[in-house]
Amino acid sequence: MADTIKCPRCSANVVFDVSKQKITCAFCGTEFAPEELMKEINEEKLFEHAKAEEPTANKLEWEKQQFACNSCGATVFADVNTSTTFCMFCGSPAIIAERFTGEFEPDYIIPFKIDKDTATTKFLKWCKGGLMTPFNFVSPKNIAKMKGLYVPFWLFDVDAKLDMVGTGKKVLVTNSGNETTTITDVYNVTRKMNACWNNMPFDGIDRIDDDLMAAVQPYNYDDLVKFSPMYLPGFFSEKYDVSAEDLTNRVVYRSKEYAKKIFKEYTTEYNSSTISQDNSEYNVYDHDYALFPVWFLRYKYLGKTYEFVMNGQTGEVAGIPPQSIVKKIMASAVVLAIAAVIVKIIVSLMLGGFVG
Amino acid sequence: MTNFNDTNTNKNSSGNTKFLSELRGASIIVTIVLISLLALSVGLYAYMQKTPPKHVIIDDQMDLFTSSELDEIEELANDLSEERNQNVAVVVTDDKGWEYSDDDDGYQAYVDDYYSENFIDTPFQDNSGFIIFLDLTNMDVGGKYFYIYTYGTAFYSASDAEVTDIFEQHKPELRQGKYSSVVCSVLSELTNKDYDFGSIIISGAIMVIVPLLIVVLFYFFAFKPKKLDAYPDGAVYLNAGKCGKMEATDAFVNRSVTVVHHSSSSSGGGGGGGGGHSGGGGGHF
Repeated sequence: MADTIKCPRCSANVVFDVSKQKITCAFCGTEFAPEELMKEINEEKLFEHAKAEEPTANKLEWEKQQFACNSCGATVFADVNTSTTFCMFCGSPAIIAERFTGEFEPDYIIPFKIDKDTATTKFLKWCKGGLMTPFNFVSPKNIAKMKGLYVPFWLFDVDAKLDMVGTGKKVLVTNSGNETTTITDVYNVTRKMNACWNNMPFDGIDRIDDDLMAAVQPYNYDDLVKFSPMYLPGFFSEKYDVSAEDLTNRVVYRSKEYAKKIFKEYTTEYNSSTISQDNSEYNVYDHDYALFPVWFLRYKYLGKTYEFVMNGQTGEVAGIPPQSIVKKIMASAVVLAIAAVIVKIIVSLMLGGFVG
Repeated sequence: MTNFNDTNTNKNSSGNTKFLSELRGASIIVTIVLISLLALSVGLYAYMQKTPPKHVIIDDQMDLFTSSELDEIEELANDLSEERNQNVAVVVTDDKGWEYSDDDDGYQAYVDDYYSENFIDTPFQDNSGFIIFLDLTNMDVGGKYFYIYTYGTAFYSASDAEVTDIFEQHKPELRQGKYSSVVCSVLSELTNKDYDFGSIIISGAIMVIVPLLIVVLFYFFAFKPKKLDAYPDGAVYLNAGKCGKMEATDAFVNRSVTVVHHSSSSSGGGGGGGGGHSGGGGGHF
């Protein structure tokens, strides 16, 4: 069953209104604070059937299954990881409860703070009106296809006992007459410190580019709230398909990168410093599962798919836009013409040429 | 199915992804402007490579030459023009006008203007040519003036030094008034002189290669793809409350001292170049 959150007053569908940060009923106009509606609906009741049906084996079978829309009864098709979508028949937001229960139940969520209109404006500004992008790239029709998606993230807590040994160099250069004297003092440098990073985010979905998701960070955790399905209606969402355990190596690697920066920050009295030995110990001691808001746009150009994401909380945009071959040819042709004229004139002047 | 995976494409209706199909997304005006710009760019470059037809002018304002002399001069001038693809003018005057002074600059300015008025009608194309100029306003010894003017690639056939040599060789004949003979000889010599093809090829190659090189550099540097931002700084997630104090231990290892002696030397700056697109040689006789 695909659940739809209904208005307690009129039983119409409700959606999360980003600008108001409230759940609104498009039919009767009633607005609810998410926690208020949660109390009225009772989450336990909402996902009751899912808990009862929660599968333990044959995951592939249920992952591929189709879901019945609880608004109209039509079949809702969903990808393996899609946890919130829309009924293609009645358009109702459809929450696939099975993908929010048990191991897939998120601990936290950051609700969307940027609505679609703002996202569109910010995206247009980011690609500077599409100076070199394909002609239809920045068209309203194209950008209207932006989708709001809650992306699954793992938030890791890491403890580290930093113990790094390296070399620091102090260089003093003096000039006197025709002499330049360079004095280089070399030091053995040791830096030890207990460090702790909390809520380091890593996306838990394989098919979204990790670099892309890293590029729109950080998220502001002031808006991190306990997960509630009330923030979902009106947006897509996915469940994780990369477990926290699978990300541990990346978390440690990132922590090491952070540690190197700390070493640099604490050796600024030297002109240069290098780490020769890292005896640090890293312990990934906890993790949480959260959903973060992302505006998502895909664009296919000359057989290649380009993905763009916008942080649905801060508006930070990331992606590498395609460059229009047509515009490149046009620009090159113009440059060629100008260069040809200029070079011809210069050559004419320098070599007794033949400009008219 | 409504799915967030909806992908926008530049596919045309037949499903083929062709790069020109993106023009469908452009407004008609933008499309026309860009295609016009492209056509204009290519057309302009092609136009610059064209060589306009050359012609010959025999302008004997003093009726100095006889009919047969004129025929011979015209024939030789045509030969020079056809064989070297140059404009050719033979100008004899006794009234160059009050606006031109009677010194070298005045004569040369007159010839320059004469060439511009009569031959340069297609800008940015090869309008090369010669003028053999004879001014007999002042018939006193040393008052007459002879000048071989070169424009454009004519310069590769006869440099300023060479045309000055030609003038010096013919100065005695000019003093004797053998003007027709001198003009015919000069025309023949210019026809038979070796062209400096190397310079022409080099300058031609420069005019093709350099713009192409500029475009290639432009293409690679102007269209560099954006890079994604790196992941956020660790300070964002650092829990200061749980971090200990940094223990720093620094031990001096060694000191090295390098002294570099600079030999005092002076370098002089080069002078600026100059030059124009025309040249020539000649003088009073």
